Amino acid sequence: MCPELFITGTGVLTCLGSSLQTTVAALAAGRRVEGKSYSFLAGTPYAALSVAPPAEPGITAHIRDKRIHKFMSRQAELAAVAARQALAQSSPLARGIRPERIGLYAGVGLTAMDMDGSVSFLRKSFGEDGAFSHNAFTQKGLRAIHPLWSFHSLANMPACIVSVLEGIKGDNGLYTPWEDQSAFALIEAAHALGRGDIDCAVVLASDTPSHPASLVELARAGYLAPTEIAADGAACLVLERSETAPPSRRLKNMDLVFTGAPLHDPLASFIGRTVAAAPLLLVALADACGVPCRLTGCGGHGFSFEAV
Amino acid sequence: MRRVAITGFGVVSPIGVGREAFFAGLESGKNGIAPITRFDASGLDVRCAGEVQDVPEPADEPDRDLFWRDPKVVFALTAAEEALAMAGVDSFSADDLIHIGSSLETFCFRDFSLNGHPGEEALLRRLIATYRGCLPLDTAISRIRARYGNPGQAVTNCSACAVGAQTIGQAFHAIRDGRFTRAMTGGFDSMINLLGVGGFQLLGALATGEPGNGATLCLPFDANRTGLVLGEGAAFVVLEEREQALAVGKTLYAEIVGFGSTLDACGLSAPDPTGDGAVRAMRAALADAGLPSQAVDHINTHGTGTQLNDPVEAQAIRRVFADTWERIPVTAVKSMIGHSIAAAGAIEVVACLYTLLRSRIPPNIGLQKVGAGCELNHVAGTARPFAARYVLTNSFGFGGQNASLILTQADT
Repeated sequence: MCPELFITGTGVLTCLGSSLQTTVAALAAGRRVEGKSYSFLAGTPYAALSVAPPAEPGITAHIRDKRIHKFMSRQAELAAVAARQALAQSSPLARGIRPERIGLYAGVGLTAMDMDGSVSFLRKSFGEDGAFSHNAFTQKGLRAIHPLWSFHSLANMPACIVSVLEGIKGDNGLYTPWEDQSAFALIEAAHALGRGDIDCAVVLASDTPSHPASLVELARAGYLAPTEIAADGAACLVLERSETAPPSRRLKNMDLVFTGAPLHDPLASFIGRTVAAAPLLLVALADACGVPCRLTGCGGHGFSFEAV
Repeated sequence: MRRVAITGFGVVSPIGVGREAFFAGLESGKNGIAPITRFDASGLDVRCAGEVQDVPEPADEPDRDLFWRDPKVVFALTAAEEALAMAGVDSFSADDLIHIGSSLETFCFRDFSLNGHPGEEALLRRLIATYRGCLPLDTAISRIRARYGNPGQAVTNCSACAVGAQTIGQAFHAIRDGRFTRAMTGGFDSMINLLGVGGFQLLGALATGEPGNGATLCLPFDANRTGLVLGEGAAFVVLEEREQALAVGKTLYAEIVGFGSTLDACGLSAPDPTGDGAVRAMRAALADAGLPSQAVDHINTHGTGTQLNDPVEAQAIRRVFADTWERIPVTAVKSMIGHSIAAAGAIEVVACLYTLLRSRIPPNIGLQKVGAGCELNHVAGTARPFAARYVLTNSFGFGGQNASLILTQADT
């Protein structure tokens, strides 16, 4: 059984707003996601796909640690901003919760290599005949790869970077790449709190489906309908048990059991398909609006959400 | 509290495919590290790795080209087939959990062609076409589900080098907590491709050179260690609620009794020099098992062969096992198979099973002169007879994730 959980901090980044408050205000004002197409996909089977521009493109410039910023992919940047928002609100360390008693659980989407860097190294990796060449790659292409490529590509990095930035040292679990895996992060966090392994759980979800490669992969695999707009997003929830949580909102009626639920993202028409970020965005927004909710995941790729 | 037993296991490694071949490789101290054959590595500084040889084509696999596009998925299917057959599992149900993990998607550049010298937009289109060859990390789970049906929950863990121990530990907790009665869990990986080797080379983390006379290039805890050597493979274990497994007459091969997982929160490219995260992971596993440190009588180390990691792990072991470390034999099987990243922890769990089932400790084959700060009771050179009761295995991940597991003999 999952324990009764309390949300003590929330961070939200969507295409409508760069905080929980601005996103909720935009939704209340009737704003909805708007998409644009990539010009370079014209003439391909993916020409009709569209993506949402970010609400505040410069939001990640506020990441304070410039040295660690160099290690960050866009997914990691979004995760770091969402986590900072949530932890600024919750302040578990300032309330005396020890770093090793704070757990970190995250769901992230498909790896999104930097496009400019990818083009640069690929351009240098072709032989005279225009075909990919091992020799050209090893002699020229490899030198054009960002030296921190591995950090930008490994799926555990967004969460590990957050652990370093925020000083989180406890139990952890990192999952990828679809919606249900972020729902699972929430479930693992709830059970770790229930077992008493930790006193506070930072649950993160971040995804960048607007990345051209991710967009095409989502469409190719059938996870993105032609009418849907892919949008980057991130969310972070700080969860605690009643004995440590300050007077705060209880996570009501949260059903944290996986079932054979069909894929269903009720926020897609409002903030776009945020894929791995969606489950936590749903919980955060429902909680902010005072809507008790039920979130279920399944053995496949989906999860479902319903107001109860 | 429910007890959790291992009822099946499968392994694909550079020293053998299948448990018997792997056990034989451990016993003989086989060196699985050799010049790379999978692709032309002559232009790279790093030209050796632990490659898996002679992988059987998985039965009923519709994608005949899968191995060449992403060998790690084939490793996963092969290990899953062996583990599930050993446990007598022919299909999954709602009571089952699959919790497996890998580290990095594979990008296939093999068929990439510019067809001349296109402009920026055309190049981007080509790049997208190449990315379409990218196989998401849950590809193996999709293939396993296609063959064995849907479990109650399917999870793809991405905790880098800590994946193997993380997945097994979290699945152990899921069964002990009563959320599932059975799980197939472990890790699979291969980074032995142009981008994988090239990317790690850029970080300066890999050992270079080609040692002669069959010597291994990977030298965990040795004074002459120069870095890690990439390996590849897969290992899965089938975990079952012990009483239920016994009730249907299953053979129990071992039990998982403790798991601890921590974060360094210190740096991204190097371990916490104090070893604090590793210490806390081992102590958490002991607390989870309800055991004093004196109970552990063998440690299968993470032992990568890098300058920074090995002394930090040795220091952490000496701190946790302050009274007993001089008598606890330790090994580092990466000396034989290299670092198979997300598969490493799970393969090392199977190495622990070798110790528990055969009463033998596999050797750290390259160790000749113990490095400064790496002092432990190393099993060097050849396998050693040893009847272990509680075995601890460490997995520490790039980015600061630490996981420790404790296994024990099955008590039937």
